Amino acid sequence: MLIDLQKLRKNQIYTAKATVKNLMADLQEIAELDRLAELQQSKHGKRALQYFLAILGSFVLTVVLSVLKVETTVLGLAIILLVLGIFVLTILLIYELFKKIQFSKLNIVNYRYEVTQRVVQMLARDIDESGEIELNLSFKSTVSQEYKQTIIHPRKPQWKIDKYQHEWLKLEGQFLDKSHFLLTATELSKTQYGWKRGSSGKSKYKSKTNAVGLDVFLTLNYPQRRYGAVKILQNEVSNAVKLPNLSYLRGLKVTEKAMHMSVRMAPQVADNSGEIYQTITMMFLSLYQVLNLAKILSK
Amino acid sequence: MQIQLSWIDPNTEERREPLLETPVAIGRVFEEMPQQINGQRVSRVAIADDLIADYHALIDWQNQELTITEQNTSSDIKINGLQVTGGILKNGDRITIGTCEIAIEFTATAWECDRMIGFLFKRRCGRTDRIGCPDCNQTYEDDYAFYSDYGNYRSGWGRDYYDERDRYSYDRETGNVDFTEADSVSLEDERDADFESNMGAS
Repeated sequence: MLIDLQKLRKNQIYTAKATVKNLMADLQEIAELDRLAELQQSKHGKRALQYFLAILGSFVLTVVLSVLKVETTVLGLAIILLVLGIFVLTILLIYELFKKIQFSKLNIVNYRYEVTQRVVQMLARDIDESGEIELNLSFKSTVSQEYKQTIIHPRKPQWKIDKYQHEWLKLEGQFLDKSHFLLTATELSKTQYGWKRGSSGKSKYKSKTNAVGLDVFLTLNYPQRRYGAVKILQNEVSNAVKLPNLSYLRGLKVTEKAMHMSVRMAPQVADNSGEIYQTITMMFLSLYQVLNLAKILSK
Repeated sequence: MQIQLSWIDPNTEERREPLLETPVAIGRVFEEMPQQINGQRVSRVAIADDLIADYHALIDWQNQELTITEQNTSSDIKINGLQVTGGILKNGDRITIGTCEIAIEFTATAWECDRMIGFLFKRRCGRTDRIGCPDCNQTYEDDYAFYSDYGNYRSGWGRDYYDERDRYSYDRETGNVDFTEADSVSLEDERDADFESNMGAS
């Protein structure tokens, strides 16, 4: 499967329904593109800096030569050449900055594809080789108009809060035992803003953005014939859950057909690929632990 | 992996040449031999010979080599005429168990990974090379480490349910899970004991 570069650059979203092998190949390609974009961005950034310093140097030299009282043809020619040089260097600087910006669109957020790669690989252990996984992976920034919802501040009059809620990962598929899984990761952020009157009586506009964390939801729909005994364990399922220190269980619901689990990760680790992977893996293992026991009891 | 055993049955004097999937258990009593080992189905070979133990020996692949191990201290195994308790088997080797001489043939096919993979659905890996195999590298162990005691119900979460697993009766048709009669009896006993202690009985 080939990635549509134009589409990825424009939408910053990768969507696919494919086998694990194809998904892994695509994610690897995305990782390579990102690495390449980072390298190109850095290269053009360095060049732009060099041109800027050259412009600055030429400008200083031009000023110095201009203020000299000596008037010779050579000096006049040098000044003209320097001005010309500044002009050419400015064009090159603009070109390098333009290229840098162009590549910045392909320099996507690393942790998102890194986590997805590892999670898909982990889940693949229980998925049929020909089985398809549906993946929706967004690289867009959470703080974007698209994901904004504005509310009135509950305590400060005339203040508002912009809440951002961006579901950047959605993964859906079926395991070998016919259990169906749905995993989503939603990043949360909020910005409070408004006018504040200081002690001197002056009003100042204040704005503060806080990361709220990452919400991970997992739903497992299991075949009742195999895991029907889950209902015996219903009241004790939460004791089977193990999570990393900076993640906590927000909700766990067990029905006759499905288990729903919601976990909030602390903001300081919400963009840490290692922590996100650990949380997701532990969520799956916690529910598997319940299902495996249910299978033993259902025999 | 498949191996072919061939021997002459001591009772019927017929030649038997079954093609079997490893692991292969050899013994006198079919029921005494294990059905599964490490989640793998065992091919059981029963030979009616008084000199063969109920569960005499096990042939299996270990570290890419076919091995035979005795399962009973009184078992006698000979490989190519030499008395052993276990050892590595090569293609064409002859093992003697009881009065039976069994010839072993196998084609040296490519190595296959015999790790058990899958968290939810355990199965044999079966890959023929380690390149790009996520299950043969460290990540598997690393992930298990995130949930210590994963899959263990003998201690920690689920212990009580696991210990009492034989008392649950699950009906696949209706999906109902009931206690068995034995469980009701045990609950009754418990209730009686509580009652007696509440009444201050010794």
